[in-house]
Amino acid sequence: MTFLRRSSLTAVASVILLAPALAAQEPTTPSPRDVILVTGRVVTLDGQAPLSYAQVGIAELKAGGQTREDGRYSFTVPASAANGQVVTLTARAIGFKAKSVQVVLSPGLPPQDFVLESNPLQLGEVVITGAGTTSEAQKIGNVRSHVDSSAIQASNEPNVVQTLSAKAPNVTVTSSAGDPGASSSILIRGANTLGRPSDPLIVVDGTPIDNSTTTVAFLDPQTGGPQGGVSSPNRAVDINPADIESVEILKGAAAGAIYGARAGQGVVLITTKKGRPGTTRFSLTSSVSFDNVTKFPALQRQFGQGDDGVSDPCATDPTPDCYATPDTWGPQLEAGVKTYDHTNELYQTGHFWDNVLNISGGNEKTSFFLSGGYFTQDGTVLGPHDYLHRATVRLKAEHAVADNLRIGGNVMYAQTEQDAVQKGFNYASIPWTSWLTPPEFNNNPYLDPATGVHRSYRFPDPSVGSIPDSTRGYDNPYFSAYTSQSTTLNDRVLGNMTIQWTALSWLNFSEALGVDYANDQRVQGEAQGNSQTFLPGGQVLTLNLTHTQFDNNLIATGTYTVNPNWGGSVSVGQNINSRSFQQLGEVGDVLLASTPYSLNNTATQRPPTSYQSYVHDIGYFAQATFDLWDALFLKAGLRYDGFSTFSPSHQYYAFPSASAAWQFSKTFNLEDSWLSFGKARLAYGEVGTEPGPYVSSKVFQANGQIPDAYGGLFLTASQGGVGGLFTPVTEPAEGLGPERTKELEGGIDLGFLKDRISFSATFYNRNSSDVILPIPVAASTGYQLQVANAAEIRNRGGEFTLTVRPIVSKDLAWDVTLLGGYNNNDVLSLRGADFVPYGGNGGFLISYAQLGGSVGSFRDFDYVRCGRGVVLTDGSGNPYNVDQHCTSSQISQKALFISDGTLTNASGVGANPGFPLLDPTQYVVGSPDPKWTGSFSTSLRYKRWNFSLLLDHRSGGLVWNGTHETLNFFGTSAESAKRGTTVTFGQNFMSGAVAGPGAGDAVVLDQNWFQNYYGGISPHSIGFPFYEDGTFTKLREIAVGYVLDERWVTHNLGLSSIEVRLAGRNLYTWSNYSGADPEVNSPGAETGARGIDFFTNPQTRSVVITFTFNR
Amino acid sequence: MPGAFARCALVAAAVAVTGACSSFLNGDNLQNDPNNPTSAGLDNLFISAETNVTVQLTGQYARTICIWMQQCTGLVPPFNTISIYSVGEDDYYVVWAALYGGAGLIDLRSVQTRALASGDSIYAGQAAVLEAMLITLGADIWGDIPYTQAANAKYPDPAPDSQKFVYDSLNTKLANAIVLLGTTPSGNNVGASSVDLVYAGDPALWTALAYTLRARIFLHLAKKLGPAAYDSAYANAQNGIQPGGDYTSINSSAPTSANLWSQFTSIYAGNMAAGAYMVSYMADSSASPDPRLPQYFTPNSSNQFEGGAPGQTNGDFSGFASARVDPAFLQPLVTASENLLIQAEAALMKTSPNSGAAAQALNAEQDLAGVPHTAATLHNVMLEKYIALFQNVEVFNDWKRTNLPNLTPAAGGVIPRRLVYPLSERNANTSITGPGPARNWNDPP
Repeated sequence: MTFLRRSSLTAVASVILLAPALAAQEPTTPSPRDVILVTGRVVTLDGQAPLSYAQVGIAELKAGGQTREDGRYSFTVPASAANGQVVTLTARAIGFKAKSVQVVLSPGLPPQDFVLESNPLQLGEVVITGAGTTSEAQKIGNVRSHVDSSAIQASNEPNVVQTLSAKAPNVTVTSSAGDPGASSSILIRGANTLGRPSDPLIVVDGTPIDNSTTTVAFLDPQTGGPQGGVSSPNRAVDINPADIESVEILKGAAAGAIYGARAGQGVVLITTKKGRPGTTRFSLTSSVSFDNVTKFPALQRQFGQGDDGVSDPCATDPTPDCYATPDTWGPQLEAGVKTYDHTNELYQTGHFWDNVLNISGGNEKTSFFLSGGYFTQDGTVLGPHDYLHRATVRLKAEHAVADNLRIGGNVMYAQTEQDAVQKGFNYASIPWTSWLTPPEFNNNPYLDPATGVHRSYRFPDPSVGSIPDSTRGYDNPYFSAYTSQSTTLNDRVLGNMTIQWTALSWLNFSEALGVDYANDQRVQGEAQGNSQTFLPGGQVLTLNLTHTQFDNNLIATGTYTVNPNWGGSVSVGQNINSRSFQQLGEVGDVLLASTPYSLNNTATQRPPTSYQSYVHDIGYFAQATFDLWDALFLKAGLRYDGFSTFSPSHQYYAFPSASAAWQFSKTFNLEDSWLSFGKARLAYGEVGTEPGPYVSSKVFQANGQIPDAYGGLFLTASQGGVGGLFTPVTEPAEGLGPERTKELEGGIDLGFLKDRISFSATFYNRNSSDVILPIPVAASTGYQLQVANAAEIRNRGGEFTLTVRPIVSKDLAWDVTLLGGYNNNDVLSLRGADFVPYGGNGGFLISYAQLGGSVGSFRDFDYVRCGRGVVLTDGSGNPYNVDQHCTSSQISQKALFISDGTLTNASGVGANPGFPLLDPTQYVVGSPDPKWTGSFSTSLRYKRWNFSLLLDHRSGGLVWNGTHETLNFFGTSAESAKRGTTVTFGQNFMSGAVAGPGAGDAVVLDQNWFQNYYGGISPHSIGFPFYEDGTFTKLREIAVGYVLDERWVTHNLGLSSIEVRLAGRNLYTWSNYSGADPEVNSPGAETGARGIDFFTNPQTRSVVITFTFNR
Repeated sequence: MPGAFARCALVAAAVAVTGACSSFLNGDNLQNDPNNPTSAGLDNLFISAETNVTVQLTGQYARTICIWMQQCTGLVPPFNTISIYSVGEDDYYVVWAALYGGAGLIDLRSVQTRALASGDSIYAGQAAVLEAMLITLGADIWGDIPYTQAANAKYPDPAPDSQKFVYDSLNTKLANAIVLLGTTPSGNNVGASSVDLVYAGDPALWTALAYTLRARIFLHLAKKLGPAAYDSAYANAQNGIQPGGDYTSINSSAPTSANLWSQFTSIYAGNMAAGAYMVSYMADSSASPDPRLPQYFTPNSSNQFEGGAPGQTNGDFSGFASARVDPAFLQPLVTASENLLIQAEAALMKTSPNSGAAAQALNAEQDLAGVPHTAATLHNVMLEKYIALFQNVEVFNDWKRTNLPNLTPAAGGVIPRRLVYPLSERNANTSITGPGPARNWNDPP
């Protein structure tokens, strides 16, 4: 029996602290004559409810017991050990403050009852702090962000990463799209890396797991990256959130330093549920959701297909197999012409069904937790190719082999299958093809009634013979939704074995050996007659991805006591980690028959492509704690890491950390005052980020492609059966070490009025140097990039948490929590460059790390404006200095410079009178990072009813509305209906100051304006007008629940309770953003770029009904 | 992998000492990329370089020139914006980088050094000709470009050489290549044979190509240097490419080898069409339309040949003839026709003009093309070259030199004469600070 119950990891500390208690656990059968019976009942203060699983014991006699479900406990003490002395009897329970009484130990001891107060600050409770170390909550010298299972369950999100949204300040979670299984990313305290993934390390029960996101699209020459293709999952989606007991987010470097060179972006520690001694408990949870899209972009329905106000002959009077214009710049539609709403015609109400069965139980020596879950989601896009299915099984068991030796096993299997529809910039993309369809074109039916072959608005009259060799220009979106397949079928085994051995009363060993193996089989099928590939005959792409990770963590912890005022612990450990990745891709061209999407069913197959990588790490770590006067807690740690990815000449780096926590409320005896708890803390730590593998290797590119300067076209270097090799674009790195993040963090944690109110504030200064990035080198050197430790980034910010529990009583409880955080991100150095493309943002070259700006800054083209020193050419060919023709206020307002028709810019391009001129230079637009983020949550319990609400707010941060910009270009956006209207810049169009010789002139907006001078889709289009403030407030969660435990439930049904819950997810968004949803990131979690809205399937909202049957 | 893992875990557990596990961090698959070879044979590098030449001379730059020279027109973005001369600062960075990077200068220099070291002079000569063909393209587009210091580890910021210096250096390189190609094949001196997908390694064909390339370079100098340059062009063209010896792209019907014009028109169907100037000139050039018209273009839906004018995006225009956009079509890059027309132009322009020789060369080319003979005026020579070199970037150099054909730009626009140094290069190379001038040295107003 242990005294405290936690995960296998926390049990280490439990055993250390209570080692004496364990030593006395000889199984004897005492007779009433030689024992003293200690009994009583433990209840809670607020509800006077019995408290089960509370531990009651006498530490000095190493004796104790546990309460049953009625709150009663009993244990015995050998009479020989009792001589009427005074002993301390202590009752503890998770979530409650421990309470001790002094009793005179003698036969006939009266029942000892305890009333425990809740412990919202978790004082005295053991918290896992990573790599097998633990600490009591009040001793931690850095800010703690803790999320428990109820908060995870309440989110109704299938992806564990998304469940963390709005749960901790400065932990920004972004869902990339509304598709089932679309990746979510976490950014902790701002971006501090450039070339490496910005997501934190995720550790489940002591073993790191893979959370990578891989898009299939790279195999596809057309879509070529995250801007096209489909929304792929991040691999943490394989974990069933219902299995999670709690999550600790190690935000700062001081907290993460125990993980050294893998903790640069923070660490998320997930602890899964475990069994408890006692009756075997069963719990079946069933949920069903109703999901729909929150908002769509606005489209016009007045103008038809064509150009310059003229209908396209192919569209109006189609001849077989002619191509019609993609544009909707035709004439005004005549009255009576039927139009169609293409915003939402491809969308339906989606559903998920989630069923989880938990069985847990055990006895004093052995406990188990067994769960099985099946989650199935049918997304909001029509057709059979928009789903996520996940089947999970977990068994976690622990057994005490001897009093001082516990072993545990925890194994999870998951099969996750996702099928996703095409998005972004590709010609099968559902949003692209539906929102670009002219209003008068009926996309239904998608097969031509006469010929039975695929028809689309750009290819309205297909012949039977057109299938093998004619692309449709763009797919009909229904065709894409019903035929285009992109599946990922992932089988994953994840688990570990743990050993806790208390070798001596003061010395404990803890070992965790874990494995994470995943095999992901992807199949992308493009049907015959598709437009996405340049093979209208169809294509099948397969990709097999295998991730394997072994991790072994061994730690020895010794406790010491120098005197009553000075104790502590020393831990020494070693970690070994090995990761490998294999990928094999094959492409078959031209389907023989229309189905199946199998390589077997293709006419020709291309040579397969493969990739593999292997990374080994070894780390040694040591940590010492000093607990002084039970009020001042000091900790010092050192991690020494060797990575195979570091330069071979210097493979080991040290990462120190130190922290101090001073519980001044104890020093000044304030516990009974209005300030019931006060702690000041200060922490410093260093963490790192390792480079990717093989960047120092000098190799020749095998099976490379020689790209055309325009997207998607290339020749392979191997031709005519001769294998081509060439020098790759990336120069081998030299002397590469880890990125190093040094962070100083200070803060204060306060509890007022017996912890009814708690407040926490934290400030940090986080400096990342030697940031690894592929730094551009002059292409004339023969290379274009070199991976180097080249940048310096600073993040400074603050975080605040305020929790108020105004009412805590048996029938009524109410609490309110406010979270807030701000972060300022500054790029301090880029090794001489002014900006570098950020994070491989897949085709949207608008995100940059900007010197003097931030990571992820947008750069784009703008009109000529005052105050930028622009020099134009006037009609006579003479230089025309813009700022000399602006007033000082126009200069300070960066007034738009309006042409009189004679001026031309540096590229020799002019503008019609009354219109602004284009400036061919890129400027910084701003940052996608919010100024601050916050959330408001509250929960209210009245008898058996409970109610909760979570509001999530993000203030500031730009979003590029590329969808709007592109729809303007093609003439389907609502704004494009302004064509033909007369406007004046600065007055009734594009608000803001204007200057220049043409200022105030009325002009007519036409197709040419919308396509070439206002946005556009070429790499140098004017993008500035399409960056919008992404401020939003979301009603993330709202729920009402009722617990039935009446007699008919407990007796007639044989259950202990039934919980019924009605919840809403993302029900409402308050935002001025003109697009679908400012919470979006088209490239997904893979790239690190943020704030990009480009033809993704919009976010959804849900109503979820949940029944839980407990026994 | 588990084996190494377990060994190291046990060792480390016994003695938790740094270094006990150095082998754990330094295996073959850990330090060396298991995906790509660390060495490359000459043939592996050569085929990549030959592919690179094909891509750069038939890719986006060729499409742009086709549009600017009004042989083609762009209908759908970004090709319609190319029609009105809107060019981004980094649009042709890929072309710039391809001059110097893998399959470009860095590898071709290594092929030449290694071939010479192994006594394979012919191979070195062939690689030198490929190098000259690529770098000439760079000097044509950007004028002053890094060459001496380029692709050399000693120079992280390669300084540009003057355009004149680059052309002169390339002429010297080609002259040396001609010498190398003339060495007697024996033993190691065999050159690229089957891996050369254009000439199958034939030294005589490579020699002729080298002469035509020299003649081309002299033409590019002619606007600046005058008749002396035409003299040299004329002399070199005498030994240039003969009919049947055209240097073409290397393409086949395999999807990864398909002619880039074919790839383009398949993926971006309808994005480009025939150019109005070229179609109307070919249709009107003589009593009967030029027989090459249906070889280049398809009739529109009214069975007419019609091209789009710059900036015109809406209309019933001719597309590209199916033979031209066949995946296996071999784009002519440097041809006997061009060589003849170089002779014709140079004969008219050299120090002592020779209209007889000009007519002979022009008519010989017209015989090859199957079109009626015309008088050997500069206008006729250049317009014939404009048609013969359909989709060939050399047309842009000819137009800058001769202002022929006399094109009318898109309304309100000016046809660019030079691309700016790519933004990415300027951002990374301290020796190139600005976008550069509007015109190259060899193209004075």
